[in-house]
Amino acid sequence: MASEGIAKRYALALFQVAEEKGDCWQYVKELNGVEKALEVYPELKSALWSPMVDDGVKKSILKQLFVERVSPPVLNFLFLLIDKGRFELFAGMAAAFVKLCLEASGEMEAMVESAVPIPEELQTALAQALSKKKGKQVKLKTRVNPDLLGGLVVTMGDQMIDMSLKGRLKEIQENLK
Amino acid sequence: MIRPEEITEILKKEIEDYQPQVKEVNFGTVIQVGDSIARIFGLSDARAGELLKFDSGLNGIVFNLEEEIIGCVLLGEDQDIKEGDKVYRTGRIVEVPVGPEMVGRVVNPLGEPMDGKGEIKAQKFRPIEAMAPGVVERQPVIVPLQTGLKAIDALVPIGRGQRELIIGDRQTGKSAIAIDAILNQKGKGVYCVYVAIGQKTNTVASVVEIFEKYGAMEYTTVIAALANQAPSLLYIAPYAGCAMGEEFMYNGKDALVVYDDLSKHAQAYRELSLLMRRPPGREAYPGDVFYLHSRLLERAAKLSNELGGGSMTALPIIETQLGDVSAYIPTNVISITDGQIYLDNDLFYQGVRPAVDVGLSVSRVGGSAQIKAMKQVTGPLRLDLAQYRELAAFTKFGTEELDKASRQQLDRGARIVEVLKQPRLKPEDVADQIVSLYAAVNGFLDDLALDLVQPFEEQLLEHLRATESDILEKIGSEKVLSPEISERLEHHIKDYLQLFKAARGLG
Repeated sequence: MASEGIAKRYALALFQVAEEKGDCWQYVKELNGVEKALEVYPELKSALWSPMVDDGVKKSILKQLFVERVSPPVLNFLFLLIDKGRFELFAGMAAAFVKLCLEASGEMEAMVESAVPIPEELQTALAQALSKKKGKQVKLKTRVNPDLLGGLVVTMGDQMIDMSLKGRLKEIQENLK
Repeated sequence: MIRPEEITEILKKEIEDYQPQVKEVNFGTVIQVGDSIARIFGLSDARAGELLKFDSGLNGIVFNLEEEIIGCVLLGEDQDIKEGDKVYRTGRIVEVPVGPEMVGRVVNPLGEPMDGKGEIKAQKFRPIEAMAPGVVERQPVIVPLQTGLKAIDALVPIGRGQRELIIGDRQTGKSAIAIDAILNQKGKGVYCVYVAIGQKTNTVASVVEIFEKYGAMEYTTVIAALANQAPSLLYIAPYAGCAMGEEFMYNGKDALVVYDDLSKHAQAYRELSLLMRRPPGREAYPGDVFYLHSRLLERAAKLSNELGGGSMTALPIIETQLGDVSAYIPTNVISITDGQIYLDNDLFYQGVRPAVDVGLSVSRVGGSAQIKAMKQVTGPLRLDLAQYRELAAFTKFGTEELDKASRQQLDRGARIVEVLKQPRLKPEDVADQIVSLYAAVNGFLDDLALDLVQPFEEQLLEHLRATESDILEKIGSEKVLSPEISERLEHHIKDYLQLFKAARGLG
C-alpha cells in the first residue's frame, strides 16, 4: 500500500505547476472547494469513484461543475486523476498539497483542541509562542473538544503537546498501575 | 493490600504537585490493522525494534520503517485497535522480567504469569534483544552439562555454554531428550528455561506436569508461546527465554535454555515478514531468517572467569520433514550450532530409544567437556559401534558364514546398542553411566542374551549401590578410572554376572 507515496507525487506535480503560475493559495482554496463538494454530495463522490461510469462521463460532470469555479490547471489535474484511475486518492493529494504550500512559505499548521473556545488574544499569543519554538510561522486551526475536560492539545504534524486535563489524568492512572 | 486512605493520599499528592508539563511527544495514527499487524502513519522519530504503545494499552514492535508509514507487529490481540487510534513511542525495546523470581513459573513471552500463581515481583528487567558476548569475554567450553542420557553423554557430550541442536522428524523424541536433560539438572546448580514455541496448550501442560512431578520446577522457568497466540509472541519467545538465561549467565551461574522448536519460530517470523510485504526468499522465508537464529544462538556462551565464568547452554530443536536435513532452516541452524543430535525415525521404531543416530550426530566442542573417566570408556565405544554398523549392514541377510572375530564384533555392537537404550524420564548419573558402559565395552555382556542386557545393567547398579557404593562415589569425585577402581569394578561385575546367571539357571 504505497498510496501515501502516490498522493505525495501527484501533489508535488501540481505544486510545481502552481509555483510556476505563482499562486499556491488560490489552488489550495480551489482544491478545498472540490473536496467540500465531494463531502457534501456523496452521489458525486460515488459517481467519480465508480468503475461503472465511463471516464468521458466523469470528465463531463467535472467540467460542468467546476469549469467556472477552478482554474484550468486544477481542472486538468482532476481530468488526469480520472485518466489514471487515482481519484480515490484525491483527499490525500489535497492534504499533501497544503503541506507543500505551507512548507514553501515557511509556515506550519497547528491544530489546537481545547475544552472551551479559546479567546482571540490567547490564540495570537499561542501562535506566537509556537512560532518561536518551531522557528516557523505557525497557523492555528482550532477545534472545541469537550472530552478534554480542560487545558488544550496542540498537534503539529506528528508531534503533539498534551496539556489537557484528560491527558494528565491518564498519566496519573498510568503511574498508579 | 493498599488501604483506601493511602490511595487518596497518593492521588492528593499527584493533584497538589500537578504542574502542566509542556512536553512534545511524537505520535502516529493507525491507518490499517489486522492479521496482528498494524500500519501507522506518522511517528517519524520511531526507531526499528522500538516498543510502541497504543491507546488501548496494547504494545507493538516497530518492524518496518517506510517513508511515511511504520509497520508494527502487535504483541497481543488486535481487536481493540481501531483505525485512527493514536500510537506513542516508548523509547525502549521489549523487556522481560528476569532473575530468581522467574524460577518455577510458567509465563508468556512477555514474562506475564500464566500459571495462576500470582504476580511476579521481579526486581530486574532485561531487553529481549542483546549483543552476544564478544571474543575476549568468552572461554572455551570445559565443564560438562550432563544430560543423563548415556547415548548423548558418552557419544555426543554437551558442555556448558555449548549450542547443541536436536534435530529429527516429528515423533522421534526430540522434546523428550530436552526434557530429560532438564530433569537431570536437579541439584547441579543449573537454571533451566524451557521455551515452548507454537505448541499445543495440552502439550505444554503435560511438560509442566512432568517438571512438577520430578521436582524440576524448582530451577526451571517455562515460557509458553502457544499455537493460538499471535505470531509476534511466537517470534519474541526465544529471545525472551534467552534474556532470562542471560541474567543467570552474567551473574556467574549456569543456565540451560531449550528452544522447542525453532522451526515453528521461523514459520512465525515468515508469517510476519510476508504480512509486512517483505520479499520472500527460499521456501518463502525472508532474507534475514539466518540472522534471526544466529543472533539468538550466538548469545549462548561460557563467560571468562573475569566475568564470573557463568554459562548459558542452548538446546535448539528443529523438526525435519521426512528426515530432510538439507531444507533451509535445518541447514541454517546446523551451521550455527556446535553440533547436532540427529534422531532417526527408523531407529525409533526399531526400539532404539533415544533414537540417536550415532553416525550423523556430532558435538564439535563437547569432547573437551567430558570427565576423564567417561573418556576412558568412550574411546573403545565409538570404534566398536562404527565397526558394528559396518558389519551389520554387510550381514543383513544372515550371519552363519561369518568368522568368529566378526561374529564377536556383531555381538559386542548389539550389546552396546542395548546398553545405550534408556527409558524416558530416567536420566542416569554419570558414574552409573560409566559403570554400564564399562561392562559393555569390556565384553562382560557378550555372552548374555540381548533381552537380558538391560535387566542385568539395572540390577548390577542396584547391587553395586548396595554393596560397594564407594566405587560409584569415587568415580563421581575423582572423575577418573584409576587402575585400582577399574580392578575393583571389574571384579564386582564378574561376580555379579555369575550371580545373575546362576539365578536364571544359565550356568
